[in-house]
Amino acid sequence: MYPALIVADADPEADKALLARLGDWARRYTPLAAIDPPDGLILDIAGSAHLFGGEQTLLDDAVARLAALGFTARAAIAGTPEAAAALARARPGTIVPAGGEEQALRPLPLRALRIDPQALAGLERLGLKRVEDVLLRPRAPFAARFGEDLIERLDAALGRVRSTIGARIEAPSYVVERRFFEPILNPEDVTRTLHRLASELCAMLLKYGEGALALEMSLFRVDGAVRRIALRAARPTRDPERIALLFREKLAGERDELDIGYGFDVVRLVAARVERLDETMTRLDGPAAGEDLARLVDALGARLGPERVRVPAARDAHQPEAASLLVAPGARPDPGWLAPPPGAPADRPIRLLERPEPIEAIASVPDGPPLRFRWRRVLHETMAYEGPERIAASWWEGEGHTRDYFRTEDRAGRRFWLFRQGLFGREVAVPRWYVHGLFG
Amino acid sequence: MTRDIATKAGPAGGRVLPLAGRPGETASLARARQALDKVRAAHDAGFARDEIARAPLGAEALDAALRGGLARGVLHEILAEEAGDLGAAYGFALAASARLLRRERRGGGVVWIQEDRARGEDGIPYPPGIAMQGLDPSRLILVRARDPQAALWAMEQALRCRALDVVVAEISRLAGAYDLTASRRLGLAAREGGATGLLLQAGIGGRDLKLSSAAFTRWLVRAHPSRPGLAGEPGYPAWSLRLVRQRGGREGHWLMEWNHDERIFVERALPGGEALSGDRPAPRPERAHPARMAAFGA
Repeated sequence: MYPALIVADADPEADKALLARLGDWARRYTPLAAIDPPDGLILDIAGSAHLFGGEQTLLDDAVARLAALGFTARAAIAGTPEAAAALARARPGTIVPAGGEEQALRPLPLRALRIDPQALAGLERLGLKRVEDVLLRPRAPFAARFGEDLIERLDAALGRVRSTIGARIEAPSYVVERRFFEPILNPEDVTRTLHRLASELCAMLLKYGEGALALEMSLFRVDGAVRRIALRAARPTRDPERIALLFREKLAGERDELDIGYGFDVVRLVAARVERLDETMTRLDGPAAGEDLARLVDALGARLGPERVRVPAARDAHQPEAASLLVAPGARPDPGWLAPPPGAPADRPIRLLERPEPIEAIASVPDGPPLRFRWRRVLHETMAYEGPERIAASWWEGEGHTRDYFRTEDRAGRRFWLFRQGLFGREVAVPRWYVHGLFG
Repeated sequence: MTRDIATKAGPAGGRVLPLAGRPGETASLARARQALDKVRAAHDAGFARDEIARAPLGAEALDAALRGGLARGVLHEILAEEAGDLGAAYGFALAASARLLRRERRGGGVVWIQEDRARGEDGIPYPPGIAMQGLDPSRLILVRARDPQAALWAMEQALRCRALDVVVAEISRLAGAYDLTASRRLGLAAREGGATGLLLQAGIGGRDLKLSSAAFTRWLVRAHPSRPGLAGEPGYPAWSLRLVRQRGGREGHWLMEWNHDERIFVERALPGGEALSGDRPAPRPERAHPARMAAFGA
């Protein structure tokens, strides 16, 4: 064997990850880029080829950059993704003029269409090796003999049907970007660029009467790395100051440096989700209170994480843990909070422990209150109590044991919500006691 | 030289305060000192006039000592005296928030920020119970912060928001994250935005906290037995409230009960001496004896 041959184990996972990263890199040419596993990338350059001085220049640039990254790339440009993929593998460097797919595909071997190998073997046995061999013959027998796949791929390549690869690329609604001849190197330049892009994006949004709900900023480094920062807003926004602020807060919250390396040469801002936003009259005394609150919620969510800002919503459930739910602000349904009738005891605690904590309690059987209990190594003697409030376990969840809740107050005036789990004699031999919450 | 300056007219032709130059003092230094004296006089006069809005708490003695009620647009500190008094501290913060909440406004009113550590140790605010104490949970926004710094940052942001009435921040240990500068920043943010800040430490060390701060008031809260109901059950929550600092005002110590039905504080007589009267008999297993329970408290 060849002693100079370097052998390494195949690692398909790593290959997939690498391809995904290259897909990210490829988005510097167009936001519409998809990976074509196991070893390809598909870019829709219809809207961006002119930015590079034409298709040929773009193709050369891409191949050159990939070579600089250490990859040998074969590329082709055509009117359909399948045709381009086939040509890239069989005739790299081809640029097909509009409508010339059939012409370009004819001499290609059928293998280039990436048909199922069994069908391929079958076709070869019949002496059909090139695409033109199949094109010239009636289609129905092929479909019957080799399945739909062959015909579908051919049709997709020729542009007769909408291709499947193209359907996977979703065009974002609004895109603004800046390309730098000289890569930008300091954070201040990044911030300035962000402000400019935000202003442009908001101008576009204003023109169409929409506001952004989800934004993404992509920073492409010269060495191929891509940094993405995503944001969400509670209400649609088209205020450039606010957008810039939210991105700054997000970066500050992540606590990591914007790793500029050798510089960014492409910065892109995309509004991934938008919603109608009509012109609102600003009041004379400043923005409306609801607007202020939405800003606060957005800023807190950007810095701390959106899941850390929540509002309570009532739920009709007899299990105490389930009686209240935390939802995102804005998603709050009609408030269903009932104030107790005057004079009725406040029988729910103001704090609920995330998990009931076991305590040692002394109580008379079968269902007396806890006379004394020890929690976190402190002994409490019950001086006043109310209960039991019996809450049965939800039979559909299968938990099983009934809980008898007591509201107790100890000698010092500390008030607890305790429960005994399991009915003595009927459900368990020895019931267990827990503290579940605290009162004021 | 000093005489020359004294005869010049002041700005806009106003009166010039007589300049008593100190020996050896240059004219500019004398002017600076005069300006500083004017500022000090205005500052003190401002406090005497008391331009800060107040939310009455409902109990006369308390409101009088607070010169009208709990001050709005400033920072208050609430500390649990001991670790076991955390429920009392939360209860007091909740009751104060209920009083500070302006009910004519809809939408958000109270932002409750909780540091992760406090959450793990003392549990999470429970909206059904909060509703029963008189604070409408539909006006509540709950924020979780990873650490004290994040919690204080969030508090500052929220205080600046003009749409809010109260911002509560629970931090398990104030020492280390919170200092004089932080308290000044929060106070400034509260003044700008109009919201009232309640900074809560429910962990240990409340009683011994030697932190100097620019907060408007500092409260030490301790649990106190309630006045039991007819069947011997616990009644309205009661707390011992010790006001250990009030800017421009007196300290004080009261025993207060929170009537959550009418949403007001009700004063109770302080027991003689610091020790709590814990002479009530423990309830019998079947039923607590109402007559003996009712004799104490009140």
